[in-house]
Amino acid sequence: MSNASSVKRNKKGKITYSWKVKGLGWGIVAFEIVTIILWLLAVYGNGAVAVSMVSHAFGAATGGQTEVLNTTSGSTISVPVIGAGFFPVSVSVDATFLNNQNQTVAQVNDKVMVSPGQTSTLVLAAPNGLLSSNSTLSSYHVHADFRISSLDGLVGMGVELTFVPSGGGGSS
Amino acid sequence: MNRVVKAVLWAIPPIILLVVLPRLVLAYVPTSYVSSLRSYADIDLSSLVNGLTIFGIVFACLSALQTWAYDWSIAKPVASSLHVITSYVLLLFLIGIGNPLTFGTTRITMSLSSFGSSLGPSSITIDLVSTFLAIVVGIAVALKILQRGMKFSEAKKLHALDLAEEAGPSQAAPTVTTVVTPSAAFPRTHNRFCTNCGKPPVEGAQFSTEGNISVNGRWVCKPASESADCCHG
Repeated sequence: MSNASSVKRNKKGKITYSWKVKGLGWGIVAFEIVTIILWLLAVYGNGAVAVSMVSHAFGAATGGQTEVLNTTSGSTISVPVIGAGFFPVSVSVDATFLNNQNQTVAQVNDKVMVSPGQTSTLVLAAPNGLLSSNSTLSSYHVHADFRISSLDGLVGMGVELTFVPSGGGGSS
Repeated sequence: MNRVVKAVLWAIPPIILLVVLPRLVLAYVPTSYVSSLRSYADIDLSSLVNGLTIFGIVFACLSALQTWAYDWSIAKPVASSLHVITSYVLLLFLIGIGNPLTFGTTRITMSLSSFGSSLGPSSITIDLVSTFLAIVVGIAVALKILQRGMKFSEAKKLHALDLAEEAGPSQAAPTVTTVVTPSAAFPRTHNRFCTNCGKPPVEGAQFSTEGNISVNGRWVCKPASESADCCHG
């Protein structure tokens, strides 16, 4: 009955619970506030990395930092990833190119983990002919998956694209 | 205020927020927008509003039950726990845009061919993952249910004390036994008072226990013969 001694009624007849119950209640409130803060920080970090990658991609169109290197086996696209926010962020790209017979023609993928304030590079190696000027990208079925996540994948965003050319061609 | 009236009043806000308001908003959204949303983004606003209606009715019933039940009644923690669990499922429902089974992931799929493009069956799917929120809020829900249980336990003990106070001291007397010093008149085996009459037994009477003497047992005397009185006058 030790708890009962700290449980009593106030002047209005309502129950005043023990310090254990009150403490647990306040602990739950603090726990939820910390959860929301961590979630917002993770979303902010993911968003900041995504924005910086998009800005570099657009910058590449006007001579930015994304490099396209032609090698003997194909082309390599290097995209800088700048860490932002408060948590390490994981960035992954996975693109599969299929021909009309549903056979895999090429697979381009890479995954990097970048800590806040650090820079890493996403390297996408495309085989010969895929990115050449006379390549017929529009003839490929493309399945691409781009993901940014933090907190062990528990907070993140992803874009999944599936392109199937029509009979007359036409690219995405 | 009457508890029933309070219960009815507490049932009204969930009905307004989750049943009336969404239906009112849906009524003002043009039908073309609703059908466009369904065909382009696979989001069915009608089923979303129906889902919110169900949640609203459940919340209204649980709120009324919570308000009506006494703190020491088992209905209170049960209704309160179900209320918290339903809130959690509603959170998952809203994050999943009508599908709580995604467990914190918002998934929007847009069919590109619906936009009239020259592509085949192409689509773009956007995922917003908030599994962290779903897991941690689930832990908070479990802690809240634990807190409800503790509140119920304390309220029940307080209620028992209140009842004991109302009953008063007189009803406690029959279960009190007094130990007297053993003497020639009252040998060791007869150092109790009879629970039936409250008096020590006469010599020669048999004195025995009924039940577990350590918990709620009673000392009772049995006369040496049927006509004899076993208790001292």
